[in-house]
Amino acid sequence: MKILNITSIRENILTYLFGVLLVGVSLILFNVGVVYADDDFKAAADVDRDGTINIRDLTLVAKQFGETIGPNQGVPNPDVDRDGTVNIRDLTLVAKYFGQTVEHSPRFPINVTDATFTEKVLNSEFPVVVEFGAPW
Amino acid sequence: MRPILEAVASENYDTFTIALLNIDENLQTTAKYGVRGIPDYRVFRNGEVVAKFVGAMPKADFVRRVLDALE
Repeated sequence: MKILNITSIRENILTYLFGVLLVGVSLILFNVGVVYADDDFKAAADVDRDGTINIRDLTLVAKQFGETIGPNQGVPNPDVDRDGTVNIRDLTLVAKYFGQTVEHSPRFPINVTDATFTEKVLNSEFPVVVEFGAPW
Repeated sequence: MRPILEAVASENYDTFTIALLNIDENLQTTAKYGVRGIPDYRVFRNGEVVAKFVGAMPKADFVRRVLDALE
């Protein structure tokens, strides 16, 4: 049986408000879109990697605001610019790409053959790690 | 390594793709890259091999080697 957790709801609302406030401040201070000119961080701005940069990504960044993030952080990684700290730059990046969709490489290993190697590995826009192996 | 590779692929799919090649059925590519022992891993970026390593290893080591190669 699930019990309604009032404290948890209140914390979530505060987190949202905190995020919205910080984005507002960042828009004024950093003039979003000028400071970050390239799209290198767009995929990383999709913090939960669901394919869209939205309120969930903003919340994930806001929740860990000010925290230090190690280099082996898995998913989600709120340190969007990978500088080691969750800060105003990460919120700004999420705000910049807010509402956009992201092309990710596949979530699962793909199979390649002699016939598809050039197309799927050599011409891939993402780096590819190939395992030469056998299923036995 | 297969379960590890699946986990690595799902956790790093905004950074790199994992591809599996069966050496028994794909002799041409296997010969081209001089694969002698398995599992043999090659990291490709823009069509070039930027790292290679052989043998099974813990997941964290595997990810670190790949990310080091892509830095």
